[in-house]
Amino acid sequence: MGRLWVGWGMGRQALICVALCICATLGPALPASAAARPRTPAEIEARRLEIALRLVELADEDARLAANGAQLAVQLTEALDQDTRAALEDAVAQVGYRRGELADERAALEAEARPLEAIVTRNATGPLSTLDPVGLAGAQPPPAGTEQVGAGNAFNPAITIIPDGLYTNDTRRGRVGELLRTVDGFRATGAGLDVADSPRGFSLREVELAFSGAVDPYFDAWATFGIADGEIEAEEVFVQTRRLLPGLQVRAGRFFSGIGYLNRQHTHQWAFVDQALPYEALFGGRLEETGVQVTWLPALPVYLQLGFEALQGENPLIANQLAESNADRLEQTAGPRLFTGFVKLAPELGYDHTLQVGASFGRSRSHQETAVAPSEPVGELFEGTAWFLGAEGIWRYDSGRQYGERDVTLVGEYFYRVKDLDGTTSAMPPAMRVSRQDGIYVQAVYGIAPRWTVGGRADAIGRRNRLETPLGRAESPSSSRVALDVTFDPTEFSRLRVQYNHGRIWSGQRETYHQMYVQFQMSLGVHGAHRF
Amino acid sequence: MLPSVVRLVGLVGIVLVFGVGPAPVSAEPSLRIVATTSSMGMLARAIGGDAVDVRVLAPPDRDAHYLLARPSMMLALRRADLLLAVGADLEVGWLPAAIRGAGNGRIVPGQPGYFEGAAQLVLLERDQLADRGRGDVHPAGNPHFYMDPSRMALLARAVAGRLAALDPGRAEYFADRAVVFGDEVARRLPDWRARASGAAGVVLYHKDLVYLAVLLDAPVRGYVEPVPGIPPTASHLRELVTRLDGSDGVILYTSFQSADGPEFLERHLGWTRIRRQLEVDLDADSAAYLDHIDAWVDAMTGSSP
Repeated sequence: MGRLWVGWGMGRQALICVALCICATLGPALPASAAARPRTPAEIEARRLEIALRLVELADEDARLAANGAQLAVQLTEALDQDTRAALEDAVAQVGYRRGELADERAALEAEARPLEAIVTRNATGPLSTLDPVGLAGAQPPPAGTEQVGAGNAFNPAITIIPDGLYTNDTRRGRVGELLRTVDGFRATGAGLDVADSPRGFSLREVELAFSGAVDPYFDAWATFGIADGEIEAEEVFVQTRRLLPGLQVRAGRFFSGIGYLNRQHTHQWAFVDQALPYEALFGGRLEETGVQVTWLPALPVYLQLGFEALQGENPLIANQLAESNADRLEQTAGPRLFTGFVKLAPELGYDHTLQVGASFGRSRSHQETAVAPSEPVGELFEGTAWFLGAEGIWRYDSGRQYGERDVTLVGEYFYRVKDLDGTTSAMPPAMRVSRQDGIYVQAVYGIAPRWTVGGRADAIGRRNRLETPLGRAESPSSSRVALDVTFDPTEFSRLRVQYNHGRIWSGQRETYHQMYVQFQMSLGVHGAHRF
Repeated sequence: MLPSVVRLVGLVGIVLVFGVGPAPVSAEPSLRIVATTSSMGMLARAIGGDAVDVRVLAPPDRDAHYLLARPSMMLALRRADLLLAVGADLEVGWLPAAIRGAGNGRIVPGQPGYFEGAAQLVLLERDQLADRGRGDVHPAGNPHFYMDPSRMALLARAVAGRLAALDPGRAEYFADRAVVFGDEVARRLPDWRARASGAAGVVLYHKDLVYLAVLLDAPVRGYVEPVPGIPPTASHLRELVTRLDGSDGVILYTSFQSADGPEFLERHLGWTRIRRQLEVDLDADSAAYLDHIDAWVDAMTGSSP
């Protein structure tokens, strides 16, 4: 047929007309063509499918012809004989004409398909629109070429605003936080720890502002800022590699350390209003530092993550620095001063159960404190090292029901920490202080109904609580707390929670308190993705 | 104490890494594919055949909207050559975190190893107002296209193309299998339409069966959910009953959706309610998928038990 048209010497547009006429009259070439317009959504869908399948066929043939044409062109440059050249030129021309035909048919089909897309969705709007004010809007051409479709423009960082509103009341006149920071054996002397007591009544504890996105093909970046009391604090600002060796990732910047389970969770991800006591007492909330983290996931039959971190070492409870304000007596140790390592292991247990166990270790090359005990010389400064060991286990059961009904999450963590400090004056006998403390908590959360969970948590710190000084060893009793909460998540973007705490704390003497929270949290912006 | 602890941790690490690390690699299929849902897994098997090894992240008995990124997902993605996702934000709550945790540069969005079905198709309900006040909306379009066999037949071509790009030696094999799948869909489509013609109408729990209803020309008379992603409320159900009272139809919902709302409607409207698993079984092949659609067609016409 191609040769016939060549004989006519017609232009492209004439060819389209001819092609359409032939199609319309001969029918079988393209069934249900423009002559017999499909009417019902089902017919339109069928026609749409036909067109789409035919378009794929056309593309296939075109690709074949293009390859063929390229081959012919090569042969043509090598051919010397006149007759061969003429034959080759004829063949090239044929390929060109056939490709022209294909292009015309493609254009015609695409022209037919465009209104069909609109018809499908308009018809579908009929029965649906009365129920859904949003409706099925008019269709656009297919988003060809893109590899990901989503809600936003991936060029801009994804932005989320998470306000955390509280109502608090307690039996300690709003000074529970202060009490928790002066627990026997855990008192951080000279540490610049900000005691953030929520005032009794209403408060906006924090507004978290989170940005994330891909920097370039090599790095992803996160930036999370906490806004509280008119101050903006960079909680996490880091880049992470996208494509190193398989399983290997490097993170650099300011980030929450990968030790333990709760440590890397942001406040809004907690299952309770407040942080578990071991974290409060041993790390001042959590270990957040500036540095570099390397994690590796080897290709094993089980999930095993190995991590190592070199951190600047500024945590007030394990890598406190007083050298700046006491330059005459203390020497500044160059960073990085804090090194951690962690292992997380998760066996394959199917879709319903997830178990992860982990261990972590950290050592600080420099920790500095001031004098605390009456027996210690006034103004004495202590300097030394600190290290900790941690172990954690998390078990989660997914019932498969919607909105978390009957899901169970159990978490338990243990930390043991030693601070080995020496005095810096030449007092006799030389001042020294070795503190050994630990902390443990277990928490359970159960989905009692769709969107409703109840949780319980028991924490204890100082079950091992020993202070060694030149005067000997002193043991302090342990402190504990229990918490119960009920949480209602109307959607994934909002949360209401009520929590009750009862604490029995040793701070010089035995103190008890009752505390209750009402919390409202919401997440405004992109849909966050959450880890187990 | 301290150095010995360091030494122990180091030793354990070395044993784990080098002792267990280079596990014997047996003769394996050429491509390791991770599919987010069992429907995408079916497609991978239908096109990839013996040349691929398929792992599915979200089992069909639960809602793929609401999952957490679990370590086993990250492990599967760590070794994957290709990730087949539904897309259009269906997996937005967990897949990005799982991809990040896997440390596999080949399957991040933008790479040839990342394939999103929604990006290859024209979706229904596109260009909605991106406003969460209207529930869990997907501005990119309704992501439940896997319940539309005609769209899956189209997607099969695209999957074949991607598989061919990753394993050029088997390009023809993949293309042939895509054609076979498309032909099979085209062969059964007229029968499904014929059976569904004259269907009285359906009430769906969620917008997950909209594609099939449009394909079969079955009128959707309402949704059990007041807005997508929000459990049914009493007032919404009463309104549905008032509006649909006296008419005929069938109530469709899936294995993980609560039966309370559908039961209420059944009591007050006298309609049949039918609960079926939304997606195919984990290890389904194309025949199982077509039978699965077949059973849903029966359900739409109210003739399934």
